[in-house]
Amino acid sequence: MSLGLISVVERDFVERGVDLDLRTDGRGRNDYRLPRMEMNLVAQSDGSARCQLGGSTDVLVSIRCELGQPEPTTGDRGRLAVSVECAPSASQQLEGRGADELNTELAEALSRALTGPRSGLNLRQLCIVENMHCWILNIDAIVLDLGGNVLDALLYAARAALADTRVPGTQVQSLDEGVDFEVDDDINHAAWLEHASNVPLCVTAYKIGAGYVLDATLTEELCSSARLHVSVNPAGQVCAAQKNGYGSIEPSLLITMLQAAKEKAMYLLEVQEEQIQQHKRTLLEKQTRGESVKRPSIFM
Amino acid sequence: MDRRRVQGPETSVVPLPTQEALAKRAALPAPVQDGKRADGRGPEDIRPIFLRTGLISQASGSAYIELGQTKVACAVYGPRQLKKQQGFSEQGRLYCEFKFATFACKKRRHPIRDPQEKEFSQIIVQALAPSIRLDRLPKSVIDLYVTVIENDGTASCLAAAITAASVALADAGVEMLDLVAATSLGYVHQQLLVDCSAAEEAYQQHTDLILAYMPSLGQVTHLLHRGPVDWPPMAAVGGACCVHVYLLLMMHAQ
Repeated sequence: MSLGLISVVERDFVERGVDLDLRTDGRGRNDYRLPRMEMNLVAQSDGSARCQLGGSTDVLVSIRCELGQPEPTTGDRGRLAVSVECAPSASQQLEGRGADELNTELAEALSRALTGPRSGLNLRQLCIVENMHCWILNIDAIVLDLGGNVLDALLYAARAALADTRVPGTQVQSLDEGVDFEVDDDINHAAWLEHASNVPLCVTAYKIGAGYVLDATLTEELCSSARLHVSVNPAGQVCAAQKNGYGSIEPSLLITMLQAAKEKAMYLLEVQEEQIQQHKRTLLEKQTRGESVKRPSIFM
Repeated sequence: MDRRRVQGPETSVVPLPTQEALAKRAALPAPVQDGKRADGRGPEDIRPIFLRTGLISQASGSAYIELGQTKVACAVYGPRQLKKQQGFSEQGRLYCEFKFATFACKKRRHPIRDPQEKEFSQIIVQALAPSIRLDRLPKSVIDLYVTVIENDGTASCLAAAITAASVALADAGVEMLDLVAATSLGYVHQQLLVDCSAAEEAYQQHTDLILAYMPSLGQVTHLLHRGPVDWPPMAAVGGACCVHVYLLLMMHAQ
């Protein structure tokens, strides 16, 4: 994906800066723009979060629970359906079908981090009647502004949205002809997603010249020949990794990039956990005051 | 019997695997027994490779590769001039269309490309672009068409496709820096397995890694990995396998 052009001189300027460990906005190569996050923004969804990086990259993730059928091979589990849409307002290049390639790329990468083996979530919690009915979590992301490092922001928001999601309660009754169930419309009976805190975060390392930077801006993205997305869970395990871009990476640099991304991810996980706890505390205060209690989205 | 109406039940359900089939799946044998896998290979052996070039007569270059039951055909057309509506490009462009044949997998594939196939196309382009002198081909495009005829391990299909596409590009006489060799690795039940077959991929908690490497230049051109895993041994084994595939390619070239 190339969003825009860059002159040879500017590219050279950025590359030399990376060599000196000084970037155009004054950061060092391992410095991350502190993510700004808001949760529970979308009234019609069961969980949502918005993440902004450095005031330019801006993404919104909404999660809705929908009733559906499980996959035949995994009858005792629910499903996740991930979609990403880059709004044309974010960049002129994304108009019409221009965003298709970017959308698929981001959606597949996001879904690899969230649904991959041991992504963390307990999908058995989403099963209602085995082999018959389950909840499908529709994870829909929209990119509102492009300021570089979109995938990191997407996973940051998706992880927070999962922590904010509650699955409506159900009561299963056995009848003469099989089983039936009722969905509870009381939000207090809806359960938080289990193990949402095990979900990984992604940190991307961008190769620029012979070095690398974390959390690139849009200009730096244009200068980078290859990038490495690394997803790390709170246990410190690398859950997914993917190279992207049209350049190649030497094995030694690859390991360095991986290590740097992993360390940064552990730090970001701590930062986000604090943000989520803060949000849950305010939510609890609101509830005790008896303010605006949301209903599960399925009843809207 | 009323022949004017379709005779059948009024409702339908998803065809479900029987309880016996489910129990059988739960009790899969260990992937490696006495140091051997189900097909007699050791854990770090790749399947025998069959490779041919120039099978597709109309293409500028082509390659066909077999890795066990995985069968992939690849054709290269071009370099040719960019069409007007595709705009101007200072560097050459690489375009790839990766498609599973509708009958290639256990489940039927739709003739229209799905998101996974689109993503694989992008991965192949990203894996091969570093090996081609695209700067020597302004205003032109190289088209790459990859068809998977049989899928015996999705990760191995992608790895085979990258290797075959690189060979096809060489067959077409495109100026390149090096051949790209790719391998797939799996991590099943704490056991590292190279070049997993479909049966081995079916184990739950499967972790996989696809590595594309240019051995002569010592450059990794692509890396795709999911599932938590111990990194250094996997990367080392992956690199060694890529070199092994590369040597086979070199022998084929002579």
